[in-house]
Amino acid sequence: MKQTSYTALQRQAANQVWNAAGCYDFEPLFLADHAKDSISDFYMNLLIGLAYKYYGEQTICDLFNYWRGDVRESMLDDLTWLYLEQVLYTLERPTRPSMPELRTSYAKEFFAGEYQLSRQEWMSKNTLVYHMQSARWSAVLKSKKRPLLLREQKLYQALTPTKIPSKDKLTGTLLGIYQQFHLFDGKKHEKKMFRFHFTGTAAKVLSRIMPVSRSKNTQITVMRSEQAETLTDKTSGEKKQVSATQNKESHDRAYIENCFGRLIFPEREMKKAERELCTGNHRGCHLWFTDGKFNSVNELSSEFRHLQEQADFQTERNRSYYHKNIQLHLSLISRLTDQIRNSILIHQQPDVLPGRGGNLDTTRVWRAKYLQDDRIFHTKEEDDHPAFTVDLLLDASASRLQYQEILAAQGVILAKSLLACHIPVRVSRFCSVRGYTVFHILKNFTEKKCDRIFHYYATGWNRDGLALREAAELLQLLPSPADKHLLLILTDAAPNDSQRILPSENAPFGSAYEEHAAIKDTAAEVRALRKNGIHVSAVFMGNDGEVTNAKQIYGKEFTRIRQIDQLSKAAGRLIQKEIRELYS
Amino acid sequence: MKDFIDFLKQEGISADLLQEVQAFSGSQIIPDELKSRIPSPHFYYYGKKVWEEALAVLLCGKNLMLTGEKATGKNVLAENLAAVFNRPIWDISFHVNMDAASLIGTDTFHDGQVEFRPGPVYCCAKYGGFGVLDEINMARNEALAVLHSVLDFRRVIDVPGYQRIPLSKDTRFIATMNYNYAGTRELNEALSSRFVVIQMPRLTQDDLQRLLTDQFSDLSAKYIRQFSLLFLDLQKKCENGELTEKALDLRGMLDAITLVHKGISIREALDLGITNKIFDTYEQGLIRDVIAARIPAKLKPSEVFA
Repeated sequence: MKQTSYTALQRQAANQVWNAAGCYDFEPLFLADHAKDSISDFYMNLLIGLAYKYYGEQTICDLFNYWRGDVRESMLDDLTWLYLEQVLYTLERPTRPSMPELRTSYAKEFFAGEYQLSRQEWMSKNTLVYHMQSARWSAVLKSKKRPLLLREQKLYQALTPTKIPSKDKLTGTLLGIYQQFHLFDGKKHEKKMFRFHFTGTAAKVLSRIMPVSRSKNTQITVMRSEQAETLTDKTSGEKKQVSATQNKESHDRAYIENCFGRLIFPEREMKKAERELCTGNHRGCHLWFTDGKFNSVNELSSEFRHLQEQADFQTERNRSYYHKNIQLHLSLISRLTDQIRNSILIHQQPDVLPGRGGNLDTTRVWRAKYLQDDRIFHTKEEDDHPAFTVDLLLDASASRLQYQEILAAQGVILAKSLLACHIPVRVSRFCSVRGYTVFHILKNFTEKKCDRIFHYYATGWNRDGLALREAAELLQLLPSPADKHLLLILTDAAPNDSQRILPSENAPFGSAYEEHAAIKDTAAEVRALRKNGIHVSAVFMGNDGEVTNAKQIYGKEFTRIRQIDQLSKAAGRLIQKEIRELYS
Repeated sequence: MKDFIDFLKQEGISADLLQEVQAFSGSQIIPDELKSRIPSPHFYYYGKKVWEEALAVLLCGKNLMLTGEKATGKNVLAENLAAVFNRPIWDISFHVNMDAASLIGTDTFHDGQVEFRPGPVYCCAKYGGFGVLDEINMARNEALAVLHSVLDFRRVIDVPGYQRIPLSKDTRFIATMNYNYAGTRELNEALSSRFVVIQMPRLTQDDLQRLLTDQFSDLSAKYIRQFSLLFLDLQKKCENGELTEKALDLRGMLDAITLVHKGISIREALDLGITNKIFDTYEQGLIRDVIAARIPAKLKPSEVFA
């Protein structure tokens, strides 16, 4: 059960589990994260961690996997934790003085919580579990117990063992109890989904009369991150060939403008850039630089207005995610700022100037006596002018759909940390649709606020090679305030676009922009950028199989992350490396 | 001094090494004005292996570098070494603006004349002292280049325009560094090759318990163990990147126990000694959780001490 990322509350809960377990190299199977500063959650997380400590990850995972998916899963989980609570309390009590107090507080919160439950919540509770829990916590508080049926009494005794089961016997003991009380016979009884499957004529007829959803890759859709999990591929549709007729081109241009926003450069300049950049493998492609603003919102058709509404919703979701976990995010900003700032301080060479204080410059002492010039000391002056700038380029293709909120938050964290260190940063997202590689600038070098980064959303394909050419072009059109420049790209090292590579002398049939051809093209673009003095580094997040692609494209200049919330840390490491090289 | 030798005997340090140490420590007369520079440490460093290695390195006339994470006892050992060898100590805390003049010395005016004002490295060289180059990797490599001739076989300081000063035969340099501090740089090969390096092991539960027993003779055995485990819990969190190293503050924990002695409630004392030193509210929450998992909220100060 791999956790992609944690919210602040989940991360705190996971820390409670790891702390009790005494190790940090596993993702907890359970987390109690219902409310901040809740004693119940704290005690529960302590128990989860202790379960890992005494029984190991494998035993715990195997145990709960026995009934994972069973109709009684929830009940069995609760009863198992009740059993484990008794066992773990007995084991840990002698070495952890806080255990009795925490256990009593948990019991009190259990009964206090009863008064806060709604009727629906009461109805959803499993009676047997409730009776068992109630009996346990009454015993802890030494208060009057609710009378139990004879069978319940026996089950309660079985769930309150006096003899501690060993690691090998834990699963067997619990399965034995459940079998004895007819709660679980060892076989999973899964709840089946109610499904009809039609084929042939019936399918054809039904697809005509029933609502059908179909999505094409050349249409933009903005989806929630959770919806992305239902998709099996980058988009649910297959790649479609794009025919390049003049009429279609103007239609596509309008489509891109209405979807992504106005072009920020004059038409003439864009045509010139396209003539220069859309060559070779990118012949027939188009460029689009936008700031996400629209010239005429009122004139948009309902289709595009809906799209904008969806994009606005995503912006709100991004913003809300960031603010919901603000403590964690501020903590990350503060750490990253410290690291970058220290790195600059250590590596930067201050200018030494004559001044009225500092270390005495013996070669200038005579000036004091004969010229009445009291600037006879060496004064060090730190250079405030930025030595380099950072371009953060976020892949915004549909493969990032699941991580939109986290990606936006990570972009903000990185941008805020760099701003705090006076390093100008530009944040952009890129994706490709209908032959256009759209470069959406979310934050300019000069902007002090990072709020527009929340406008990040993922859709379409990613033609990395052309995006890199656009990044270089953007540096010409909107130059950076420093001579040296670091281009950081978040990538899955799997460039892929619906627009094919057109036939040429070397490849008479052309080819799809994917796999080897796309990787080779992107690698060539990275080399070209480096040749022009732009430092290119990548934060790679992808499958094991794509590591080779990342190596082929970026050489040694990439760092791999396994969870998207590690982006800012990884980028921070690359920036520090850059600082070291810059001043060495 | 005698106490220290007794302590080292208890640690099981080889008798031959101790004999040589005693011979070294009595070999030179220390001027009265420098006697105050001979440290009388408040804490002992525990660890036979590290002790023996460090003593051997210094007896062989080499310079020593202690590398390790925060709270591994680098400075305690450096101070202990100066004390056991009975040598005056000069502590030199490195920082990003450190330059050659801050180490060797600088020009100043005196009686209308430009005069050389000796720096700590110069003093160490002249008086046979122990120079502790604390957090050596916090300084720029260019500033450290001046130390090359001091630290290698030449053992000499050459101050342009003044004199060439050979190092006293008793002079030693002990550098400390922590690779993990944010932004620290890697030491260049030229400098690191001039030291013998000891990787300082992390404090073990036994070491911590001994330290707490030494510092607080009336602390109950139960809470000696709990405080040690609490420190190790925090250490593990730092190792795994969940907390910054700022949270790993052994001095802070000792201060907190002192406060408990004065009647402050234990959770409050730990807040004052450890948690409140972190200004990040998220990290504060994590530290409080670690404390809450071990120390009962209603624990009375009187229960902590026997």
